[in-house]
Amino acid sequence: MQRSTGLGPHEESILEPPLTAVPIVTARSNATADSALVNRAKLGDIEAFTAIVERYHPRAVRFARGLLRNQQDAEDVVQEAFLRVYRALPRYEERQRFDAWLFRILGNCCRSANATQYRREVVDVDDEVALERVAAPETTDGRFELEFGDEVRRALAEVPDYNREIFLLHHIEGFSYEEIEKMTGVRQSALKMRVKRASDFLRAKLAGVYRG
Amino acid sequence: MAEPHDELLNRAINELRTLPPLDQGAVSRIVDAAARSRDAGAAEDLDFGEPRRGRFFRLPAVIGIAVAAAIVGFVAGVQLLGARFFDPTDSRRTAVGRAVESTLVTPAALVPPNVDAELTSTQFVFKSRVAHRVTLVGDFNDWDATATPMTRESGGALWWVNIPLSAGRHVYAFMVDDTLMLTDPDAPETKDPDFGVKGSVVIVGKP
Amino acid sequence: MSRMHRVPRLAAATMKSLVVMVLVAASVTRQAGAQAAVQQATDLETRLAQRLDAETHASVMKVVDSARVQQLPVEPIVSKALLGATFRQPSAVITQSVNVVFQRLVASRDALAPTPTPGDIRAGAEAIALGVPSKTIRDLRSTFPDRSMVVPLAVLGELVANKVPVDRAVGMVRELMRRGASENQLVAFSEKVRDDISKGTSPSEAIATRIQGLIAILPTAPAVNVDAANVNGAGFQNADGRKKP
Repeated sequence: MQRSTGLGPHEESILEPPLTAVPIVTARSNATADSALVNRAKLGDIEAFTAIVERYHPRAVRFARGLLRNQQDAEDVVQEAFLRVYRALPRYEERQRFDAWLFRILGNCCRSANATQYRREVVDVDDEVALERVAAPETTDGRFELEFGDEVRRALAEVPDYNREIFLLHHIEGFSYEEIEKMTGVRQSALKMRVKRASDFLRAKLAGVYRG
Repeated sequence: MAEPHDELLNRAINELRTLPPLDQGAVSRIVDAAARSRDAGAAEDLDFGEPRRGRFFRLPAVIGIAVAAAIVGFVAGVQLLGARFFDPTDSRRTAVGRAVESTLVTPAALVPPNVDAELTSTQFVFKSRVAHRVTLVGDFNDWDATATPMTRESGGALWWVNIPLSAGRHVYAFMVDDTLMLTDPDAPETKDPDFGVKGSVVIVGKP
Repeated sequence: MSRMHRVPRLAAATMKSLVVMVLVAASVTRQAGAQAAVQQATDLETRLAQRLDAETHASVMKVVDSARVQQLPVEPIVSKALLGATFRQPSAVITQSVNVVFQRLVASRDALAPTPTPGDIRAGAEAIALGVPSKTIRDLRSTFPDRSMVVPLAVLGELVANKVPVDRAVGMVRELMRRGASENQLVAFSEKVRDDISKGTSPSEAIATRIQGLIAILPTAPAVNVDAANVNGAGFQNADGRKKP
């Protein structure tokens, strides 16, 4: 079976994340409470669904803002995702974590929204220039002396979508590589490489900014 | 989770982890929209009991099949004694066959899974040195750009994937870097008659 | 009662129990098939709900439900909707398209009557979308009432899409089927014709040439009653679709 990245065991061990430096503040420890709410929402309890939205809305917005090319779309995309979750809720089964299921749907919505930023073309594959001609993400205006947070978001926006998404899922939303593999179908070794690339990019960008 | 000494990256991660405040207005809009879609009509009317019924019947179905198999073995043994019984193997096969092809006695008759869907493993290959991520999309995976990632030979330019396809005509394309949808230069091209979008065609014969 | 009489009575009682048990097993198995179909339906709704907005989802589900009632395969409808979603087609366009797919499925089922498989219906609908008339499909079916139409219709559709005249294309497919060409041979034939056309050969010339290559390796005595003397360099004459295979 062909490995997707061709990394040897030594290279993969470098990618293995060490101990957490900063605790991740998420709602993931509330899996049990989630289960009760989801079961009620599945039966049509709109108040339970409201509680679910309240619980996950801030995380969903955080994720969408990180992933979307046009951040103005974040609220609309998050709303669309929750509506899809609502319609699909009766079919949700507990064999998958609810938050993983939600973020999978949200990721789909974000990717669709991002895709509309590009004109879909069918070009001759020999035209490799077309492949390189990936539109740059929207960047903030060129103000000087941006706050660190703005710099981080500006740098994040320049990370390619496919690396950025996995970086956000892992480092920001706290999903393990195993969980992300189940969500995306991408092998863990490839996921780790994407996170590494995003991390390297961010580090280099921010170091360049603050080196003066 | 970055390395402890990776201060800059950890600061960035902490910054990105900042949660926005809960926007109650947005929550209300979502819930209202959900309630409207619920009230909207029968097409959205969801039978909440179905998944449970599926689980309930699974065990008896297994038992029933095991019983039928045991009957076959028993009767085959009895036949050796010279007694002439009808061959329940035929009945069982016919019954199973009919179970697959029969329609349900429900208000909306459901078409069973495609009974002639024998599958053939089919390889798709895409060539590019500059692409970072290539996925296969087509009528066999809901045109979902996340469903079928392709693998690149290390250091090479060929991306590939094997997937099982049912016999007949299939339309597909390659999604490159989540950005470009490309047809296969080595396959016939087609234009979707309804959307006008281009794709590539593969016809699969029965194995 | 002697042992001689007891054995047949025991056998009869056992027989009765076996019949009951087999019928119960068959019934439960049928229910398992039913539950599998229900699960498939629920998965389908989830697949659509995850990718379509509410309005489009509702419209598509109405068409799906209509297809179910008419015992048509629903996958082509789902696939069309999700293709539209992938390419960000407007809701109205997706809705219209799935309705057109539904009409094609109906026409295909009618042309392939009386007992087409779901795969046959799907293949017929695709062939209709590519420009094959329903009547042509009906005629081909009447020539081969018991064979799978999945690959022949796919090949026929591709030939017509490549501008081979319909009568020539169906004549070729019919003849190759009569001569016992396998499905893979039909597929290879279609690919070679397409390649020739893409390199500038006229469709008629391509089809006439490539069929010579295929019939050369097929059984010399065709499987059906075909007058081989009617084969000429310009291609086969149209065979009477109503001849017995």
